[in-house]
Amino acid sequence: MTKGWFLYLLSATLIEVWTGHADLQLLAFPVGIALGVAALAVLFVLDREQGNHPWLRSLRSPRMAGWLLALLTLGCIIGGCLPAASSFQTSWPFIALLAALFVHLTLLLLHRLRRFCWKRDGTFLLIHGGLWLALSGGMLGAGDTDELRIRVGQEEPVTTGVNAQGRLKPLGHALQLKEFHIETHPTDGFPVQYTAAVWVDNTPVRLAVNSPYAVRPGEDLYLMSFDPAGATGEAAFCILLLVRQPWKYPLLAGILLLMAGVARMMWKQP
Amino acid sequence: MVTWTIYLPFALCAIGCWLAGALLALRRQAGRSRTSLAATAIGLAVYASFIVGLWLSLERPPLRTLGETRLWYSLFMIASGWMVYFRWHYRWIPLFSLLVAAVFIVINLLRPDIHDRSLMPALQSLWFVPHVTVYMFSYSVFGCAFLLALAGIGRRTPAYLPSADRLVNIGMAFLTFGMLSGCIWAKQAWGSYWSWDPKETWAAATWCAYLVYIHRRRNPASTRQFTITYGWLIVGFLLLQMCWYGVNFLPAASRSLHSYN
Repeated sequence: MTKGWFLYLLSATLIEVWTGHADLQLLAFPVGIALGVAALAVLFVLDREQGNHPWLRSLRSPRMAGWLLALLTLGCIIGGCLPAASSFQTSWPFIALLAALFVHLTLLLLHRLRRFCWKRDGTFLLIHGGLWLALSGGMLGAGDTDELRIRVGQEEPVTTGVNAQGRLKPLGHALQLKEFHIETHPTDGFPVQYTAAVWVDNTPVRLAVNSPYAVRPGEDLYLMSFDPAGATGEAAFCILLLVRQPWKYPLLAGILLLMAGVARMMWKQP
Repeated sequence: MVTWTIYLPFALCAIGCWLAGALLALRRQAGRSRTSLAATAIGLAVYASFIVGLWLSLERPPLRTLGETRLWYSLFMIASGWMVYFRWHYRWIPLFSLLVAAVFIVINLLRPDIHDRSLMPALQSLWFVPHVTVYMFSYSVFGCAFLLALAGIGRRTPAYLPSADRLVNIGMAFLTFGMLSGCIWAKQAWGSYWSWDPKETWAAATWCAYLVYIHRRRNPASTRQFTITYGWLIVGFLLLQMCWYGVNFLPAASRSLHSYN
């Protein structure tokens, strides 16, 4: 297994050296979902036709899980030591590890679902299924996620925002700041809450830190920053973030399943 | 009207009940002590009544200042310990959770200046207290597993592995809750469930390391090769320290979303 892992990661490293970091935008709809469905179909057929082949058994074994998790630990340690700008999470070796985890989890779940019994396999299914859903949503949906920063003032409505690559993109909405308020603590004068009253397509919306507004399903508006010159109470403009993430629902479902599985595991522990 | 001026009698009364509960649990050799559970529950009710009273007096949830959040830390710490003792009868857990909770109570008593110190807006969320409390509980449980690993390596025996397994399962459940509640909160605050921020990256490393231990224990050979098995508990605990405060010493931390300075 050591040799196999070495060759697998060496190939990913060579691709990294040759092409640089992976461009996640390549996974934008419909490529991401098509890739996911194709991988699922191939693994389903493999499991049905060759489910007991030593190679497939090895791929879904606890030993494989141990190797994968150990390598992911190492990957995260290296990534944790690198500067944030290095974006290690989009490097090919790290993506190769996450892809291997996806394959391992898929084979494991497909095989277990063949003889599924809720009493025996419920916790297993919730934990591994939740992780699989969250991982799939995160990986395959990466290309469909868009974050646009918008400087919204009181003068006129804004209809464009800047994405992570610095490109100007249409919002599909008109945003205008109505008023911005900073609430301070009566005793120490520190800011307690920032609130922006914004027009979103002629609809009055109140935005605050930790309180986003759902513009439409899979699209949320956040208050990120404000005019520093107005720190004493009123600000002339604020910075909003429009996040388009249609895959947020499978991601959330995965997180909730994982939570339920962990709760069941803890409670059923002898 | 409940204010911070009457915190001391509430805190002393609650600590008294919790201490009685912890000692009763320690005295019991097997199973769980109902009297211990009842005493701890009374302490929780007393302490919770102060929080509820403060909530009514302030006319808002007491979640805005450092002092207010420390009230919740201590309450949840005891509640987590009560739940673990109720379910698995570990007789040392109530005393252990009392010691951690007492640290926050003492800080609140000795540092009245933090009662009114504002919590920055990003931290004012219903997720803040559960996220931090379950993490801290898991840290303390993993601390015990780490000590068992050191003892096991020092005495060259796999005898501590079954106890470590139970601790890791409980710690892992709390750690996972902490991490996942953090994901949901991050989506609400920053728009992304997971952004590979330095703190998140070290949290993922810690989570994976303890998962290696759990998967390794499914193999009977892990008892024979107990030094490597204990080694993963030590690696996990060191990574946990890195995630908790070590990350702040890295250059990457200055641009971290988790930097609240």
